[in-house]
Amino acid sequence: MSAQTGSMPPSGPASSRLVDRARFRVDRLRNQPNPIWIRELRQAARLVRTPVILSVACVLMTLLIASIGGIVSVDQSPATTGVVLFQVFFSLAYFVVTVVGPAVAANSIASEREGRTWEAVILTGLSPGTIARGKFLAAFTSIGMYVVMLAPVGALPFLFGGVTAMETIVAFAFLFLIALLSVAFGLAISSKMESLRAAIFVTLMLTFPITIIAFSAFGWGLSYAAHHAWPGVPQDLPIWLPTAYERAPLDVSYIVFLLVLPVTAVVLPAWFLYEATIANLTSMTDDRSTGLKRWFLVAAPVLTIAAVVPIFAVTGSDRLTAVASGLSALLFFFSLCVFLFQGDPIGPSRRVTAHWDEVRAGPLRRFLGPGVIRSAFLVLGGGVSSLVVVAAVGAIAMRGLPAETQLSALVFFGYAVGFYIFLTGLGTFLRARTSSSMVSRVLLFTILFTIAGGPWIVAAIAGLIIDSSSNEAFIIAAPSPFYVFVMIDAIRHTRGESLVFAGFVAIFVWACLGLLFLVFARSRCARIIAEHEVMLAETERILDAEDAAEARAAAGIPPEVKAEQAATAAADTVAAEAPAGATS
Amino acid sequence: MSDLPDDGVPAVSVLADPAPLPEPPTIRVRHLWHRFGNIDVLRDVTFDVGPGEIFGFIGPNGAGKTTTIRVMATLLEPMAGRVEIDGIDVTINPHEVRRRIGYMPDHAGVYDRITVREYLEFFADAFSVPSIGIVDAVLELTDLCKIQDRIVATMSKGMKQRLQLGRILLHDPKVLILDEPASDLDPRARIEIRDLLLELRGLGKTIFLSSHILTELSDVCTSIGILERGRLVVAGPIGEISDRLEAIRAAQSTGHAQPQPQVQRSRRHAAHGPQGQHHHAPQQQRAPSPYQPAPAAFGAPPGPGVRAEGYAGGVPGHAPAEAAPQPVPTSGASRRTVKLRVLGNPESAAYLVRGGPGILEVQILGGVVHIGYLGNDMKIAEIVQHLVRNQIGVVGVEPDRNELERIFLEVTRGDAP
Repeated sequence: MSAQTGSMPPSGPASSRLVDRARFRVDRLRNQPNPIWIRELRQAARLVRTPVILSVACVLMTLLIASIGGIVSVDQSPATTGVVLFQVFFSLAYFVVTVVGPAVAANSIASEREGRTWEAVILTGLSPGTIARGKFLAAFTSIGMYVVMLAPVGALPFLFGGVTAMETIVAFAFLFLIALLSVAFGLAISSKMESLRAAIFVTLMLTFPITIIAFSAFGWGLSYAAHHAWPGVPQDLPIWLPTAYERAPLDVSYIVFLLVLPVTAVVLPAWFLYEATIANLTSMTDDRSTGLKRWFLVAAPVLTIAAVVPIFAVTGSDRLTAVASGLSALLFFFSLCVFLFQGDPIGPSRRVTAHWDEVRAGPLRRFLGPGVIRSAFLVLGGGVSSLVVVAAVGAIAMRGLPAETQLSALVFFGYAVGFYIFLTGLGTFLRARTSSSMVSRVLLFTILFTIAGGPWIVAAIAGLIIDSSSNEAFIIAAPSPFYVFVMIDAIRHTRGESLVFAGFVAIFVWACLGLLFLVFARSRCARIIAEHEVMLAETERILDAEDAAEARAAAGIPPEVKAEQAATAAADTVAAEAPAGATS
Repeated sequence: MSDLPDDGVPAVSVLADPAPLPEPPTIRVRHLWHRFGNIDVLRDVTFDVGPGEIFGFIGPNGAGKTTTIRVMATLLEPMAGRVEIDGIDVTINPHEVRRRIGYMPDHAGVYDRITVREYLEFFADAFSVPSIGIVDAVLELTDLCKIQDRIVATMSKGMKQRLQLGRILLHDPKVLILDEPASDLDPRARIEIRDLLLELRGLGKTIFLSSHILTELSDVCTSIGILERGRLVVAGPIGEISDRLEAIRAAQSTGHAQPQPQVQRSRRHAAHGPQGQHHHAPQQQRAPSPYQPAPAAFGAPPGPGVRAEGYAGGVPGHAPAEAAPQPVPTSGASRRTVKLRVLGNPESAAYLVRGGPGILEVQILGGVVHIGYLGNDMKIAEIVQHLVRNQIGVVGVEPDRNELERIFLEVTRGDAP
């Protein structure tokens, strides 16, 4: 029985049928709620300021919407007034949810650590996943209360006309989805932080730019593309998605862009944030890699497909742009993954290997477990495969286009792969050399920044010194990954063969360096793991010897006698086995 | 215990039917090493705690107490060595260990906007405690029934500590690990916590307790371990350690002990040298240092890993035959002080005592006679007897330090870690 709710948890599913299992899960959720969630709700209920803040926010929003409605309705039709109010309300609600959600979530785990209640919680045996879900539910409930309180105000535009009831409902549904991502984001940051102030500061510092960029890109930016695809959707209005669901015709593009893509855009980041939170909540010596690697295994092909689709959505020379954009986006994603997996330890801990042995984990499970080299191979394999797929699809799609365009795509792909191998190798090498993942991340970022920008500065200086009418000075910038654009330009205008050649040399050097770094890192990790295992084996040997000595002492056998007996027994064994054994 | 015949040759039956083993220790720490950065914070720490014991873990700040405790509580994986709680390796199976321990960290926090009952109910759910009646039982045991509906934020520190103790009792663990449970508490709260610990011991709990407050530990602990600079310098029942040190002092005073130039070192060895070591195993092997050859902590090669075995299996036999012979260490004069309250004029008492055998100094401070002397408790008895025989009424005898404080000062050097 739950002590907090007094409810009896269900004993188990009635049968193994899917329906019964689903019913059991629902019953368990209802009767055995997450203890962290219930406790947080109890605490929140005693916070006096919550209803005050909610009431003030609701009154202010009502006044604002009423004022705007009053002003607009003077010289505009009620339908236009409704659209304006709809846009204003949901734009404001978006910012409330995306700022308040992470801030509330950032408070949750960091406050436990700062308040020194964290260890008590993890020692209860609650899994990091249960804790993360409880914290998420608590923060989501809190932000959900804001949305629910504001719902009557949000329904006002519907009364004016210009927007349908379905559009309003869909807009609210998206508001909840955005709240979900916002809370998950705040929770992931909070799970990494020791201090409450630092958690809130970092969360808000990241939230503001991300919120504004996302609103501009996915709101205003995509509204033009949406209008282009479905003329019924108004352009230049940020809250266009609910309208698109109502006004776009049901066809393949509807399913792809309005169903599959939004679901993927919510599920993949939410899953990543969940796994990142769990990894941060898991002890250093436990397995905190497998979840993130599982996510990577799914995210890489999904994003590869997402990069491939636009190649077929455009025609002609735009396909080069689509290929280059797809490769760039994937390279950016895989580079982030290299930074992400810098958090892996050199190898699995004793605890993890013992668990693997206990459950008889297979090679795939072990491969997805902790370990720098495992991560390097995973990220390298996944990244290179995805880049190859996009390039191959691009090559197929670009058949019939001019040779320069195809060569440009090939050069872009080559530089992306060469530099990615270098990045992976360097990241692995740095992680193998440093004791802290943060140090290796900072070093990697610094080196990347230097490589990306440094050659251009040197090239600019060289350009001033040598003949300014020549492009030869650009050769110096060949190590920078942005040099690929110089190569493409040189190919298109069929000039500066040396520029292209320098680029190919850079690609070759980066790839070789990357592989070399990987070899060094692998050798170092193997040595460290071997030394650790030898040390553990030696300790085990001594402990076993002590146990044996203790047992002898308990039995009253002097060690010398036992040794004699053992020697005799061994001799007897050898003698007994000799006739049956091989002549060797 | 031994089934060996007189000639020392074991009979066959010894192997077939060994003597019943003593009850295994509840906490077993063996050759524990840990390092933060380049600093070895734990160096070959070895000790056992038997069932039902209250083990006091003492040491200066930075000695490695909390690191040891965090390893025991499964919060930290040791770099080498093995820690077992109730026979389960904390590294291999932390989840099982967590079911068997109740850990109260140093300066642990509590949730503020929640009542005492709600707090315990939350942890009862988190521990998946099957019955709601457990919360009531814990409230009663910790005497928190009367304030069960009070908000935790309004409680005193002592009450919060009591609540923490209640929390760790919810899942009925066999072992309680308490890191500085009485720090920052007022005297009343300390007494209450002490009484509660004794009550818990009566319930069969094994309690591992770290504290700086030696007097507090001496009131409740059945055995102790003293940690200094990551190394365990002594461990065992307080009385036994005291007796060992006393025996060494006696040997020194009668000239049986060989003088040694390094007095401090010899004192340390006295605490865990061959005479002090009481262990089933004839000879303990040293675990290898995983990083470097273990430097002798205090200049001399460290003895075998210290092992306290004061558990219910009885006092294990010493192993003088197997232990490598070591010189009996000497220490400087064991100076102690006793405070006497007497009826009448304290000057008379001082006059009678002054100049006696072993008496070093006699002072009267605030009407109390402070006597510095060389020797043990017998000397106090002699002094009191002498005074009474001379018609001086002795109404109070107060040693200047309790037993544990004496042991601590004697075996530790007090260096900064």
